[in-house]
Amino acid sequence: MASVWEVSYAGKQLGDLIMSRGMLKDGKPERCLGYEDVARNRLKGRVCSVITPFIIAGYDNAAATGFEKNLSAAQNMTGRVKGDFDRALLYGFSILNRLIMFGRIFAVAAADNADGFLCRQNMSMTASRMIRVTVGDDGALYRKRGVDIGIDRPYIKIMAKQLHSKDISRSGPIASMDWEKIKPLTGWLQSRGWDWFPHQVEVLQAAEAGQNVLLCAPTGAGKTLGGFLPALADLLGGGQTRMGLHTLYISPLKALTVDVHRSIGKPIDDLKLPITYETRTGDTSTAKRTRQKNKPPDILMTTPESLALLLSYDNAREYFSGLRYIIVDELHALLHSKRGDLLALCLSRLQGLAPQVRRIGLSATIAEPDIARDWLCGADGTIVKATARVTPDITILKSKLRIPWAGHMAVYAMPEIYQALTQSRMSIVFVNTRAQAELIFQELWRLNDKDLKIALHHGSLERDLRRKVEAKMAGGDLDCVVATSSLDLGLDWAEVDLVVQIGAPKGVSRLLQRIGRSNHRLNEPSKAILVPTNRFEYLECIAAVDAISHRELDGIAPKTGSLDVLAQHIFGRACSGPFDADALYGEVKTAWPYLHLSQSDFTRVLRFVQDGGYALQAYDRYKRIIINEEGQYELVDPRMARQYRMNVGTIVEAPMLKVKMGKKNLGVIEEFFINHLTPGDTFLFAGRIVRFEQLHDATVLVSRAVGDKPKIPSYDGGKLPLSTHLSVRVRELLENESYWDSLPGNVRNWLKLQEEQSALPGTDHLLIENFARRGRYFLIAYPFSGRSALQTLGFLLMRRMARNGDKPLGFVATDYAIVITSINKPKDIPGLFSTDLLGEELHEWLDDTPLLKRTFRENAVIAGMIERRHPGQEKTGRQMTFSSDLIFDVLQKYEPDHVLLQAARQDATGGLIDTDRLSDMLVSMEGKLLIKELDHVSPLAVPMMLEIARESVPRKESSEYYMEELEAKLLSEAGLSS
Amino acid sequence: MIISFGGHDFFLHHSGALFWPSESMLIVSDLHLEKGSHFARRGFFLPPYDSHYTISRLADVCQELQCKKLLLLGDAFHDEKGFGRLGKRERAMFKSLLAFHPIWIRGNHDRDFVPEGFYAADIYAHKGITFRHETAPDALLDISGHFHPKVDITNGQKRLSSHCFIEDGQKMIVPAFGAFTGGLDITDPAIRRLLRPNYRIYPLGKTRVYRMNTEVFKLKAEK
Repeated sequence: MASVWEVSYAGKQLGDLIMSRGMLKDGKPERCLGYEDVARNRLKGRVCSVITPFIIAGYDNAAATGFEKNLSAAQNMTGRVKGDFDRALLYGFSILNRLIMFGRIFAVAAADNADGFLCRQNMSMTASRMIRVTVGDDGALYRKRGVDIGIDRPYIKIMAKQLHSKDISRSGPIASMDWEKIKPLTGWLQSRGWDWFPHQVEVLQAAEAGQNVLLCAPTGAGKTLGGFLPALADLLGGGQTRMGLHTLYISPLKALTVDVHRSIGKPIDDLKLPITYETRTGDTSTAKRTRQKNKPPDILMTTPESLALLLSYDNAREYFSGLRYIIVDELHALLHSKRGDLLALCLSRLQGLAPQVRRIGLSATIAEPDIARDWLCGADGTIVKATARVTPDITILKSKLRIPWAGHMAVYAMPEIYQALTQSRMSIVFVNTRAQAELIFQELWRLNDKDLKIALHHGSLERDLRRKVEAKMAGGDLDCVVATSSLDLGLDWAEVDLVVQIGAPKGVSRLLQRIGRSNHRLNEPSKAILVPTNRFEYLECIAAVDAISHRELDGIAPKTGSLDVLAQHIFGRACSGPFDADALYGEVKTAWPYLHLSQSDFTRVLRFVQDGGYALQAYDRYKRIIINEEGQYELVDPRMARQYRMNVGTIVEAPMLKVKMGKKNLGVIEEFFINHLTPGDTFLFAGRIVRFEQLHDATVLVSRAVGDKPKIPSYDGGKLPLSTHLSVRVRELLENESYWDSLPGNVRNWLKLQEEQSALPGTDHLLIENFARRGRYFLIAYPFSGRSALQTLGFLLMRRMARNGDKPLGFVATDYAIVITSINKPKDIPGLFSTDLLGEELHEWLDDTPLLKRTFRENAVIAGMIERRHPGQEKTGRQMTFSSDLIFDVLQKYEPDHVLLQAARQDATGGLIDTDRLSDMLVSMEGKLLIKELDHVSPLAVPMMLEIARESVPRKESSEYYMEELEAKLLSEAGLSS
Repeated sequence: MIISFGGHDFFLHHSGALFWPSESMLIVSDLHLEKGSHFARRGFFLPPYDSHYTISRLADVCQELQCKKLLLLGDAFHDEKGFGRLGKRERAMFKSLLAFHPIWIRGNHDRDFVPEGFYAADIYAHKGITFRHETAPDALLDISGHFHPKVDITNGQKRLSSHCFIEDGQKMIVPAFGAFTGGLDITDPAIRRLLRPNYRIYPLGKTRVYRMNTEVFKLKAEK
């Protein structure tokens, strides 16, 4: 197997150097870059002019050692960070973690640490013998010498030929591999200096043995090709189906289907293989769709929603009957969402249409792959794991300024973040909310005296704008992108070498995913900086970094299937032709989320699809589906299918309006935000300050503006609660003083004082504090159970305290703690937290909470009770068609057991209201309350007290001052210095 | 809450009904009865209880305020055929409204329909006040419906969103009374251009009506 090393450098001097040393000759490892003399020359003579990173490949430990020697000799190099080089670290890849500090060298490899290199084809390095070195830049000189020219920047490729493929064929079951079949592909890979990975071959073998496969591999481990390999092998062997699809690829992102279309298309086109492949998403033109319907390609790349649509056509049976493989990408991102429910149902349908089909799931490395395997493949599926990637290099920003007590915007750290950006080649700054994205983007530009090219990317921006940013990133034309979760998944940004995460990561897997955006292509540790925006977040960041270094990921808990999605599926099923209810029930139950669906729930959902399923059978004559003469359900009117197709999908957003500047679409914004603007007001949108001119035909017209205090749109969502696993880690960190070494002095001091004055939260008790301040009582609990669960706890405690006569005034919940303010001293605190809190009171409250109404709106749209609103579709000057809240009220009053209310309650208890987690917490902490009656505010309570103020004081001019004053007072009361 | 409008006292009821005590007259707008079945015909199965809910709420308010007269300010049915789709029970309930000598202002949704026994008009004027479904820019002392005014305010993390009365001394727009009726934000130009700059807003609370003025918009969403 061959390996390719990419080396970018400032000019062609390095190329000259290498050639002059005869490195283009085969079979002379002693002449390889990475050897002592090369390194010495390189570093001594030219390092000052090196402005872009390069990679040095070594041959053995001696090389690395020699390299290191020369490195220490070159103390005066530009950008050199002084640091001690630990001899023990001079082992293979680990040296990289040190060299990376140096900022210019991206990999040094020792051959005997081969495992670290197994992650990506073009980076493999087992027992490497460099026999060929090619050098390239834009010049014809190098091209003539057989050099593979890069896209637009000079780089050098050193191909290290080694015998990896022989390693594969030597061992185990792989020996029986029929290499002949995939020979063209192997040839193609080898022509580019790559070869198969063991995990790719394992996928092929398992699939050919008739198994469903889950492939867990880190970003950049040839996952996509691995997933497609069985399909390609079959197609190469003449496995084309006569009519219809052969392989279906499903990814959660449209952009990813496009990307995969390109990367899988490459070998197919290069080898001129007789395989057709196309994408199909919401963006596909009608003409192309029609053609795809009549003459499907061999491979179709699509999204769950488009798949649902395809399944709703009356030719679905012929279309899919020959299907051989289904590949589901980014499976981990789908499992616990309603899109996952939808996909699972579609898969059950596909299995019904094409019993021979095999499923291949591709997933990031996850904690419990068994669950994901069961979800997709069934319990007898095979899990294939690729070798883990090197541990990422994560630092937590150690700001010279103190970390704020409360707040979420990290404005304090902006200059230091900017500094880090200037030192990297291309960076992504991840934030948790769109509002943060807009603000931080502005702040960075304010500081941008080096004219970095900084762009913005979030889900509300116009698609074209987002595509433009993505294209620029791919082309290396940007220095930095400020992004929300819109960039979390999938796409390959090879140039990114730094990820900054602002705000707490909330979950280890999510953080890893984001960090994985850096050095996506190269097998080097990703480099990331975490920027906590307040003190509690600092603890969370430490816990997350710790978890990653121990390779502990969050578990994935797939959700139970939602009934509204089932309703949509049943309707879609009816659109494709008559069906037998029992057979459909049986089929639905093969989908993991619906394994335990009861017959009665199924029937109720079916009845809902039929005519609303109301006890009062008022809509008998408006039925959508009826039972025909053969006892099968069928659509009353084929035109009903249009209704299904207009409303398919599980993503329901708040009402949005288009934003336009001149003729240019900027994106969409929540109607709710615009309602609060008067013409002339300025706000931040799409990274600029714009002036609101007017609302015209449901479009927000804006103009360019400058302003001091633009408003920041608040967007719903984007805030994930702290993961359970991380919550445990934070509490472990708190109760173990030995872990505190990694904390900055002021944070450590804060915890020490907390321990002296009150107590620390821990894993085996629940700390509750109670004190009075200025005539009010404050009850603070620290369960660290995530915002959703704690918000529910807040509502329930308020009710109970009101009943006890404590006169509660309000509460504030964060991911970590909850504080309730009351007029009277809370009575019977242990009673407040008893587990029966989740009994009747919960149900009473549930029926009344706005959270349930919010969930219900989503249920009503997904299930098809109310029509989906498409942005810009509705004209302004007209009332909103419905108030889902009022529908909820009426239904609650007349038919509280209706299946959609059941669906709403079921969704809410797992999601927004998170009673599952709340109940876990209450049960595990029963009898383990640590109640502290205090004279004054405790150190840990200070941030919570500031949160109260932030939420209750309207943001006026004076409020900044007010906050500072309050903070100072609280700190002195708690015995803390700022 | 009692307010003075056009020299008369009016009582704003938290249900969204307007009561004119000196005339014992109850004024409600935009009932949109049978909206549920209207959508059910197209395959969107809204709960079939909206008419029952709305009419019984109306009957309760009539009872509570002891009104003698009823004025329906238009769009009582969601469409012209709505009356025909009323259930048996609801039809009887609707007919019992005849006891209040109802005046039926024609709306845009049910334009050509007038139920038996109702006195129908496009505009009804009484004691200097004009009642019609949709107000006109130049109207004076005029009470209307049609727009389903709704107010939406945030303060910090708290959000208030509710149907409301609005009134600028010359015009009053009453909220929709119907069960499923959505609202139009009062800052929408369609409403705003009809009113003088400093109008008053009366959001409906659970047990009473509140009063605000346009100053409230200075506390805008800023987060």
